Amino acid sequence: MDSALSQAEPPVVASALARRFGKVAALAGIDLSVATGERLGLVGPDGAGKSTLLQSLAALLDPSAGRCRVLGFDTVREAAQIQARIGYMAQGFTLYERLSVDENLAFSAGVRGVTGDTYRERRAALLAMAGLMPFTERRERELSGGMRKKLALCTNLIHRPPLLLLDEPGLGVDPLSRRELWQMLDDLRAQDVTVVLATSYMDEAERCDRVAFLDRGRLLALDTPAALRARAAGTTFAVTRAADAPPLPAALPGVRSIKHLPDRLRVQLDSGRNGAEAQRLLAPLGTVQAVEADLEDVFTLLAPPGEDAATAARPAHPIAAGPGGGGISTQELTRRYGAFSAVDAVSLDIPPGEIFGLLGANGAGKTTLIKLLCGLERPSAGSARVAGIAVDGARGALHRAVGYMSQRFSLYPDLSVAENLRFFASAQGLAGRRARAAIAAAAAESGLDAGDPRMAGALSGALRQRLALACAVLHRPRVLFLDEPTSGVDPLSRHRFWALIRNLAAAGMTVVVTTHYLEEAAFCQRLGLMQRGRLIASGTLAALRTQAELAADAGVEAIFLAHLGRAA
Amino acid sequence: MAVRLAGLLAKEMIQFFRDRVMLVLILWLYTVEVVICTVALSFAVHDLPLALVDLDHSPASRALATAFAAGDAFRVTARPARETDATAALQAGAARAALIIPEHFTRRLARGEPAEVQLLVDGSNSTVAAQARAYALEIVEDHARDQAYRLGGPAARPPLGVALRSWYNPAADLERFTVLSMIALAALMVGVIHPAASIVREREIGTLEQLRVTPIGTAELFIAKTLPTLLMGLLAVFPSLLIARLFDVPLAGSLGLFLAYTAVFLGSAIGLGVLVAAIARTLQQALLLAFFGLFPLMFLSGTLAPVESMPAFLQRASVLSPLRHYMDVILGIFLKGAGLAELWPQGLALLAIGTALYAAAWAVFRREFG
Repeated sequence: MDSALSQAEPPVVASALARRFGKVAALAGIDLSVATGERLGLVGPDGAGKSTLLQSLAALLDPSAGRCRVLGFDTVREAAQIQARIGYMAQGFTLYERLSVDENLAFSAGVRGVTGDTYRERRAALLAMAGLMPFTERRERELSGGMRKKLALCTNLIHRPPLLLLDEPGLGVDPLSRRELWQMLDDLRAQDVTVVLATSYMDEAERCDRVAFLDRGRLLALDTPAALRARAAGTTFAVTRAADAPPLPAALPGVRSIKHLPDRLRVQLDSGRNGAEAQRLLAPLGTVQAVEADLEDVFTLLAPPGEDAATAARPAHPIAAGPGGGGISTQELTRRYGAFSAVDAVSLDIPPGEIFGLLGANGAGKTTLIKLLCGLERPSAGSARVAGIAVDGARGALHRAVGYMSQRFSLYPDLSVAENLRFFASAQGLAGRRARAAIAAAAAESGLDAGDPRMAGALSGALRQRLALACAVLHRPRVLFLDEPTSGVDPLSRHRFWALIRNLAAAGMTVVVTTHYLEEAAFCQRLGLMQRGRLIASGTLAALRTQAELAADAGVEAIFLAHLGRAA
Repeated sequence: MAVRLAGLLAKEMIQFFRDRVMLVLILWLYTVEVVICTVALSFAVHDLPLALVDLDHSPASRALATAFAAGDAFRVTARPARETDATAALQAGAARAALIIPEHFTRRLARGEPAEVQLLVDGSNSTVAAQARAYALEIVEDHARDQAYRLGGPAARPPLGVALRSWYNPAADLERFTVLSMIALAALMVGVIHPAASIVREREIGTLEQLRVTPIGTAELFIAKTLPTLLMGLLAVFPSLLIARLFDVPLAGSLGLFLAYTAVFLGSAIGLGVLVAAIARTLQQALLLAFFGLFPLMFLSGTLAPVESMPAFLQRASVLSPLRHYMDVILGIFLKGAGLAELWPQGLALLAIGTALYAAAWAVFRREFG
């Protein structure tokens, strides 16, 4: 029998589903049902159980209690039937890097018995849909991150699965490629394909029919995005501060979170505090205006404050400005690999203490530009001074002046938090009392416990991210480079991380940051847009909006796309 | 400089002692592996299954059969009546050797005519076959001498040459040789693989790049990646000294000299490890590359086959294998109590090879990571 699925049974039914790993309950008491053609988004902080739930649905993990029926089959007894039918895209890449686009697709078709004319037909349709037709001969490892994800999706669609399970499909993918990926998902919707996906992008969650909010293995909320947003309605406000306003008090009663945007504060109050009470609480801070709640506000509302409550100290001492100041200035900075220019004649000036955001597609040259400015790569042409130090000169002085946090949060997984901090302090030549003071300060500024005995490899993504930040600022660099520091981290932790960055910048540290989360662009004082190695535009968000001749309410994505379109 | 280097070394040490798998692996290589190889690789022939066909049925033939059964080398597992049955047993693998005593064996002996017995040996393992043949020859010759003595007096047959016997009675020497060569091999493997793995792993997790954005210099990093392996390689020698004692291989020479030579030898191995790390992108590649490099060194060292029996060009190439010189050193110090007076040529060779490899490693490391 091809399918045990009766008309009445939905493609995904989980009842009292639980899964333990040793003592840890990764999932507990999940009741869930997904209708045919529905798109369900799974959101939640790190370790909430999103991946475990997807793996349980894919019949890769057996439940510790309860049960799961997928496409009418039991995930324990009929795992093979389920796996033969569904499409499952894990978080890591599931492709073969030495095989070409065509070979990867042919392989996944082969193992699923899709051959002959059927294969040729579907191959053409899928490659056209993904826009990969011109690249069929290219090796997987030579594709950009976005193209890889699209190819991975194609390999999971070759057997026309009625159910698609996607684990963070947009992770590490630039906004442009992410749009194309979602275009593919929208096309599938017309074919009644059921999709369950985990995501840390709230704009992706917004595009789902329903959103399941998980935390520590429990299902806290399951509703449509609109209904979820209604839960936070009336609690969010924009506060515009006068130029001479006194600093904010350390703790504000009734305030759930504050986002510091360059020109205003975005305040979320505890639920229930709205109307007159909100006015009373916020009026002393500045001009108050109610704003619409978004899914991220719901996230803040639902996520209980974790172990990492934002109690980070502000830097006690301003960052000492060196003789050449603390800013960055580049002239026609270029890095070529053979005939290819990864960074092409970039000229920019960043004053000390500014948060400068670099946006651009995968492969646009953001990481190479940062590596040039850190002295990790040598310029092919042009020049640059970072904190007054030439980047192509002696590295010793440059490395004392800059801090660098790479995309991968490069820490030693087999060293504890304390050992990592001690090691990176010694790497900066700090010993004894100076090292202890530096570690204490950096840990406080990052909201870390400097004596934490846990191994770095065992920490949650959000904590590893903050440990990497602490290690990068131990020596109080004048310039800090952050390459996708928030990739794969949940919205709440991202938000807390930005508060840390803002504190450091306020103390005089210049911060250059890249990100794929366009909403984070709003935290930067100025932005630089990169495309094919060139800096195609830079300025404040408002200036970029004006340059692109967009309306005053145009979002970051619209601005980004308008500039990319103009330059192309 | 001192702070950074101390920090790097402390970090390497913590990581080393925290890596249980690596610790067990190293201890295993230096102890259990040495024992297993020594016991298993000693090609001494014991209890080889023998099919015995006695067609003579005489006291003399029975005496010969008893002589075969009495020794350690053979165990009579079958006594088929016909020769064909014995060959069948050989074919089937039920017997590894067959002894056929022909008819009229006693009569011929009595007449003083040359009497022949036929020995069939399974030649699929040539080493075992050669030893079986040699054992059998010895037994037959012994027996013949006894018989001749009994029948015709002491002058009837000349005693056999000594050369043959001393050739196949090396069980004890072979064991000593195997123990020492396994210890040398362990030092080589650990010396190559440990630095290679530790560098490649840092590259994989991205910390190598992170270190390049700190004031840590290339020289400091190079020292931190090579010195711990040297210290650890020297420490790891001690458990294997116990194993050597277990096999009755006392250290006849000076321990200090042995450690000094080991340190120089490890220099070569570590240099190779760094070179491997410069090429390999993943841990998997590093391990494969390390083995790729280790095998020629091992084959050319004389641990598996004597250097003298290699073709001339390979004999010349073997001079470049640090393992070959180290084998000379370790055999000399342990078995003969040799000192610097005898071993200085090996010392010079090891120093030259080690310096060249270490310098090459430094040059590559500076280009790759500087």
